[in-house]
Amino acid sequence: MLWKAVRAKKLHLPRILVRLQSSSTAEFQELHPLLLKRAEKYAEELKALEKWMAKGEGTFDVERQKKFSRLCAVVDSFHRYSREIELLKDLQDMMKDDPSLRDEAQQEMAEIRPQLEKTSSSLLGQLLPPHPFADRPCILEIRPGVGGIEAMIFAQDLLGMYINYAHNKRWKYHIISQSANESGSGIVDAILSIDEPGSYDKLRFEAGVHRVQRIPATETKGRTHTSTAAVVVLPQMAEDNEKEAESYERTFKPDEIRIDVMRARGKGGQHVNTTDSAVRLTHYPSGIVINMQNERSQHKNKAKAFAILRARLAEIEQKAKEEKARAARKGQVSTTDRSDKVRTYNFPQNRITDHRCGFNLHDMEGIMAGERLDDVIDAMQIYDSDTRAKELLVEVQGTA
Amino acid sequence: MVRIKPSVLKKACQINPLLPLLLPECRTIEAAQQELRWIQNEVSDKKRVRQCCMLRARHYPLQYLLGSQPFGPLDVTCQPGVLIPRWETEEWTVSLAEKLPRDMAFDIMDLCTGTGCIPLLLKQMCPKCSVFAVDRSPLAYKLATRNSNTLQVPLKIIKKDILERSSEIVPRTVDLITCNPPYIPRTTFARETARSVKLFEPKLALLGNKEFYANLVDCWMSRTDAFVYEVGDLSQCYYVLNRVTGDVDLSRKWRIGFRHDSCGRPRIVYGFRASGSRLNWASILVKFGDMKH
Ligand SMILES: C[S@@+](CC[C@H](N)C(=O)[O-])C[C@H]1O[C@@H](n2cnc3c(N)ncnc32)[C@H](O)[C@@H]1O
Repeated sequence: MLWKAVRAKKLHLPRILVRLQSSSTAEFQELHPLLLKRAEKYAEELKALEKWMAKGEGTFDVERQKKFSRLCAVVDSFHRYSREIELLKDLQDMMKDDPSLRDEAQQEMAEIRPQLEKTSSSLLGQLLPPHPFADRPCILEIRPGVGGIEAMIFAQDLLGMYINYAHNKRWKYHIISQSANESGSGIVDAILSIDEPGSYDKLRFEAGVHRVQRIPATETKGRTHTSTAAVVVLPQMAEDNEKEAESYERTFKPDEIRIDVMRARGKGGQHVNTTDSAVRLTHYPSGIVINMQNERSQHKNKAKAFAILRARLAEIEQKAKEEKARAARKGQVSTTDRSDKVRTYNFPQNRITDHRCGFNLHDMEGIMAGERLDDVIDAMQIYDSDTRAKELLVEVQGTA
Repeated sequence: MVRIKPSVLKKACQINPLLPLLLPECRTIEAAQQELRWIQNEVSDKKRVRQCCMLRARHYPLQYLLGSQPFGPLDVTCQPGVLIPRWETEEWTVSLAEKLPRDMAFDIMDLCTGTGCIPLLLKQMCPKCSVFAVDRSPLAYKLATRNSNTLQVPLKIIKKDILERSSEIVPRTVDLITCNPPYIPRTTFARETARSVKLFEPKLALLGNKEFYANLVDCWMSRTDAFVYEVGDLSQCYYVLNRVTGDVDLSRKWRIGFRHDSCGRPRIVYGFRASGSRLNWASILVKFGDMKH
C-alpha cells in the first residue's frame, strides 16, 4: 500500500499550499463527534456482553442474541469506518508532506472515497435509534387516486411491483383483499401482506402518493396523461389469524367497536344458503372503518379486519408520537407533508424520480419488475438517516 | 326474484364469460367475481370450473360444489343430502363456545346435528367435555362421523329420531343441549325459502315448526341444565317462553332468554335452571342474549 511506504518522509510545505491541498480534498463530511461517541459506547457495551457470554453463566435468550448481533453489526461498521477515515487522513497528510506523491495519493483517495461514503452512511443508519416497528412485517394498502381507469391500472401496476419485489427477495406474501374494477382493468383497492419480519423498515418509504406519466392504452390521440395512486404502509402487529384476532378483540370495550355483517333480505337462517361472509369493522374512537370480504369464512374476514385495524392504530399512534417530537423542535428540520407526491414514474422518459431525496433512476422495466426498487429504497434510507441524524444532533446539542 | 338487467349481463360477459352464469345466485357483478375467484381457488381444472358455474346458474349450492363450508376456525365437509351450515349458526356457536368454561369437564348434547358443525366447534374449543351428537338421517350420521374423523375432534354420534325415540338416547342427563332443528313451516316454505335451498337441500333438515320446541319442553328440559335452540322466527321463541311461564313448576325453575343474530333477526331461544345445576349457567350465559323470564 502506498501510504505505508512513504509515511516516514516529512517535508515542509509553504502554508498556502497546505491550505489549498486540504481544501481540495476535504469535501468528505465526517460523522459528528457526538455520533461517534455513541458508537464508542456501543463498542464498550459489546465488550461487556462478550465478557458476560464468555463466563457462560446466564441464559443467552433470544433478546440477548438479538442485541448481540445488533451490537456486532454496529461495532464492525464503526471499526471499518475508523480504519477508512484513518486511511483518508493519512493520504491527506501524505499530500501535505510530499507534493511529489500528490497525484498518486489523490488517485487512491478517489478510489476509497465511495467505499467510505457507503460505510459512513450505513454506520449512521445503525447509530440512529431504529424505527420502533423496524423488525415488523408490513401491510401495503394501494388505492387509485386521480385519473380514472388509468389510475386503477397504475394501482394494479404498483401492486404488481411490490409482489415482484417480495418474490425476488423470496419473501412470503399474501393478498389480504383485492377488489377489481368492475369494467375489468385495474383495481379499486388492494391490501397486500408482506410477511417477512423487517419488511416494514424497507417498505415504509413507499407510503405516499405515486404519480405516473404515460400514454394510457385507451388514449387514441397519443397524449400523455398524469394519474396517481396512493400507498399506505402499515406495520403488521400480529398475524391475521383467528387466535390473534380474538385476543385483540377482547382488548376493546364493547362500545368502541362494532362488527357488521352483510344484510341479506328475507328471513336468513335455514331459508338461504348464500355465502354472506363479508364483515365491516368500525372503530369509533378513531373513525376507522374496514370492509373485508375476500374469504368464504366470516371468521377469517373478521380476523383480517382486526389485523388491519391493529396495524392502522399502531401507525396512528406512532405518527402522533413523531408529530409531537417534531413539534417540540418546530422549524428546525424540514418535514414532508404526507399528502405530497413522493415519486413520479415517467414512462416516455423511462425515468423514476423520488421527490424526497431527488434520486433518479432510468429503468422503468427494472423497477416495475421489482428488481431495481431497492435502488430507490437505498437512496431513501440514506436520505432518511441524514434527516434523522440532523434531528438527533439538534436534539443532543439542545440538551447538552 | 328480480330479473337481472341485460346491460348487467352484457357487462359481466365482457369481463369474463363465466360471470353471467353466477349472476342469478350472486346478483351483483362484484359478488360474482368474488365467487368465481373462490371457485378458481379450489378447483384447478378449467373444465370443472366451467361445470361449477353452469351448475350455479341452476342454483346448485356453492358449498356442495366446493365440498366444504368454513365454520368458525373449522372447515366442515359438506355433501348433498345434508344441510349446509349457516353463518347465523356459526355466529351463535362461536359466541357460545367463547363463553363456556374451557377447563371443566361437562356433557354437551347436540340434537339435529347435520354435518356436526355445532358439536365439532364446541368440542374443539372445550376439549375436556364429552360431546354427543344426534341425527336421524343416515347421511347426516355418516357425514358427521367423517367430519369428526378428518378434523380429529372426537364426538359420540348417535343415529336416532329425537321426536319418536328420545327415551332411547343416552346419556339420560347432560349439562347443555344445543339444537338447530328444522324450523321452516310448510306454509311458508315455498314463499320464503331461496330457490337453491328449496331445490337442493334436504326437506328433512328444513321443514318443521313447533313440534321440535314442544319436544324440547316435553322431553329434553328435564334431562338438561341448560339449552340453546336456534329459531326461524319470534313465534318459536315465544312458544318456548309461554310454555315455561305457563307451567308453575317450570316457571319457578327455569330462566329463558332470546338472542338476535347480527342482522337483527330473532335467532335463539335459550334457557337454564335458576339453581341446582352443576355449572353456574346464569353467569356463563350472561350477555348471551336478553333475558325474558
Ligand atoms: C336444520 S338441520 C341442522 C343441521 C346442523 N345442526 C346445522 O346447524 O347445520 C336439521 C337436522 O335435523 C335432522 N332431523 C330432522 N328431524 C329429526 C328428528 N326427528 N330426529 C333427529 N334428527 C332430525 C335433519 O336430518 C337435519 O340434519
